[in-house]
Amino acid sequence: MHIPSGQSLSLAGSARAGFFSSPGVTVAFMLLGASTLVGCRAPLANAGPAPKPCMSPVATALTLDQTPIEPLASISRRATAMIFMAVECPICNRYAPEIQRLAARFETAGVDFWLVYPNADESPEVVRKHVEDYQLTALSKRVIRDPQHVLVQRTGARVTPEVVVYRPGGEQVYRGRIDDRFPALGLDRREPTRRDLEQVLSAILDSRPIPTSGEPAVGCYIPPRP
Amino acid sequence: MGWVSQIVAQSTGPGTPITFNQHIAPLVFRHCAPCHRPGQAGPFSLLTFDQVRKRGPQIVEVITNQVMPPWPPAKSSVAFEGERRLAASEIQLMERWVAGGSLEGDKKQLPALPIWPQGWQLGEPDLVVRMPQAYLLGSAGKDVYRHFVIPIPSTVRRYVHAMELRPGNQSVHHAFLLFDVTRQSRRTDAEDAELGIPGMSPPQSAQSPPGQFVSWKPGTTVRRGAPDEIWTLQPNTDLVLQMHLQPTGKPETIQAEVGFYFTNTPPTQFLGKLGLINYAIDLPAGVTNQVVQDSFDLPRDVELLGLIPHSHYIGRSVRGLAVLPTGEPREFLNIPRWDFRWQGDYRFAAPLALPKGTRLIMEWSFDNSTNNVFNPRNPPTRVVYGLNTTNEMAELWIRMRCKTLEDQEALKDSISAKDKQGSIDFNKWRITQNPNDAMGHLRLGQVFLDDPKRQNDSLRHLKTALRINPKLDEAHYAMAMFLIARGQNRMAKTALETTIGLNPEHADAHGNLGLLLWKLGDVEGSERHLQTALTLNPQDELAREALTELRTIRTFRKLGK
Repeated sequence: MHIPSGQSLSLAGSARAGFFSSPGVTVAFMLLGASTLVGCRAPLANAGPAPKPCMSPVATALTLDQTPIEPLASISRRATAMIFMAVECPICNRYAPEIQRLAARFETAGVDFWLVYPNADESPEVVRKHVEDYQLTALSKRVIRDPQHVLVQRTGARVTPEVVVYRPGGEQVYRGRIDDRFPALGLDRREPTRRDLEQVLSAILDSRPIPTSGEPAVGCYIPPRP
Repeated sequence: MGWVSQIVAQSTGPGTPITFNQHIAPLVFRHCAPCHRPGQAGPFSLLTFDQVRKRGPQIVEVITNQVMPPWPPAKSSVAFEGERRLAASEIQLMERWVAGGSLEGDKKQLPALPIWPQGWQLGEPDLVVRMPQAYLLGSAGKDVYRHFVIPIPSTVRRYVHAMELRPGNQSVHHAFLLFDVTRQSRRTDAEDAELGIPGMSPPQSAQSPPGQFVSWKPGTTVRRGAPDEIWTLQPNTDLVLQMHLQPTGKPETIQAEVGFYFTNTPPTQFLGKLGLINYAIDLPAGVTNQVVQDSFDLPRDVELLGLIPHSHYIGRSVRGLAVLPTGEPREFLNIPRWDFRWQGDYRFAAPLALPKGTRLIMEWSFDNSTNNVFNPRNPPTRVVYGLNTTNEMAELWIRMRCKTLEDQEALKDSISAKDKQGSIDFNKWRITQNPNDAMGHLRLGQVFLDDPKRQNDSLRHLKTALRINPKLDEAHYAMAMFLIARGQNRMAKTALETTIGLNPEHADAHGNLGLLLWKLGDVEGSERHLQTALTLNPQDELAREALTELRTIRTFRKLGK
């Protein structure tokens, strides 16, 4: 296994749930390593200025303007939550109001919410329209695409809507569902009985132990890259 | 199955690579694509290799769990029309395809997409009605149950053989089509500014068409009605569209439309509807499998044509059983996992003939624990019978057909006696729960009104209802009926006037006041009220006859002068 050196390792090494256990671990290491080699690296926590646009063929997540982006680069705040989304996922759609609520509640308290669209066939235009239709525009500064599955592989996300939470320093502390409203495909509660993401973020903000590392998310499987 | 399973048998031996074009497309086009295509109820399309490949593991999961295709009944000895089930071999094929890497295969083997009807399934309807205003559904929150009242602009009697609901929005989860020949639903709708009537229970005057059930759920196909499905639409009837709306995550605008197809052939069959209902539901918190039953003994030979099971969220399973006079049981319905959201009516593939003396049994099981995902109360609390979403119901409605008019009358009498006893039991229980339940007293007063031996009970309950709620128009009306039967015409007149003061659109109160005023010598007043009764309810034959007679007499009198 190719072990990248320097700051890339510090990120990878500190990741917890879903990173070492993920079958994508090797690929993720290699991708991070490769980006270091070609000098177009994904900047890391507290790693200085925002990334410059990178035109090399190296895989990165992209903004809706097709600019490479590394969401963890700006993790100077209390926590970062990445929510994997898909345009045609009915469960993602039904969560849109809850995502708005959680973002409104936690963003001012120091949590960055990213919406990550991993499906390669969902163009920036389609994603933009989805964000508008589902009234997620308050988050529009942090809506990104991950057509090469850089973030999918790093986080171990399997379905949409799945949430991954990082702490400053790049430590992945949670990967799983938003809450327990959808216990399985085809089943839903009128209201959740446990709001996992809310509990995890509250714990981080209150410096309490994190109550769960994640119950599996239920939704649409993220399809493999074409 | 049919041709799909033939292909499967020919080409899917072990070692054969399973491909989309050869094996999967025929299966998906037939079972999934009718709803999973643009403009239909499915939230995404399943028409191309890419669309199906992307969702391969998800498809395997939902077909294995039998979440899709949505068809709640398990296979019974009696088949329903339009069953949507995958054969085990078809599920295995899908699993093998995904496990084998979701291969596309030879494009030449891809079958053409089925040709689906464009627009209305049976072509342009004879009459289309639409919700007069759009209803705006919020992006979030609990599911919404609502009734929308739509006047049908038909001033003559029509015979309906088919209807199609086009919900026009994916948030509509299921719907029942009810009809109100009175103005009660309009009146209830006008009680607040918001469009429609909230809740799961329609006004009592909104009913399924005579002898029919009409419901819609995603994937409902419309066909020309069989002779037993023709029914009479009376002039000036209101359509009451009961819809279950599920927020989708964004605001939705719902303006459903319904197309009617008419025929010149009037209904000719001797139909009946039986409600197996248990009112004595009392479910302690935490019970996981509490069984609730009801039954009915057939007084004549009948054929069962279709059914609707109904409960709310904490129903767990439901069975329908016919125990023949020989003692042999025959299961005709088995829904092992009740899901309120996928309810609707079912029609048997062929009528189920049952002899006189057969006992029809409904058996519901309820799960009022946290195991039940649909339980809206967390932690669970005691649940009793009632019409609201917070209550429960246990019903199984059955459509049946008799051979003769005499059989139909006998069946109706038996059903009516059963309903009456059910109403007495339920309302007695209701007033033990709350002695100040005006509706409970009113219903008992009404039921006893027809029973010569229970006249004192009738009067007592009507008086109690009026003491609790002096504004209950139905109680004043029932009191008027009680007084008319005793020849106390002056007092009856006052009671009817009070009824109309409280509810100016009470058609029967106008009709009876018209008849009473005639008796009391007020011919003009009589004519006015009879005319109002007829305008409000064109089906009121008594008012029509009386009015004709009254006008004939007046004409003769004028001629005489």
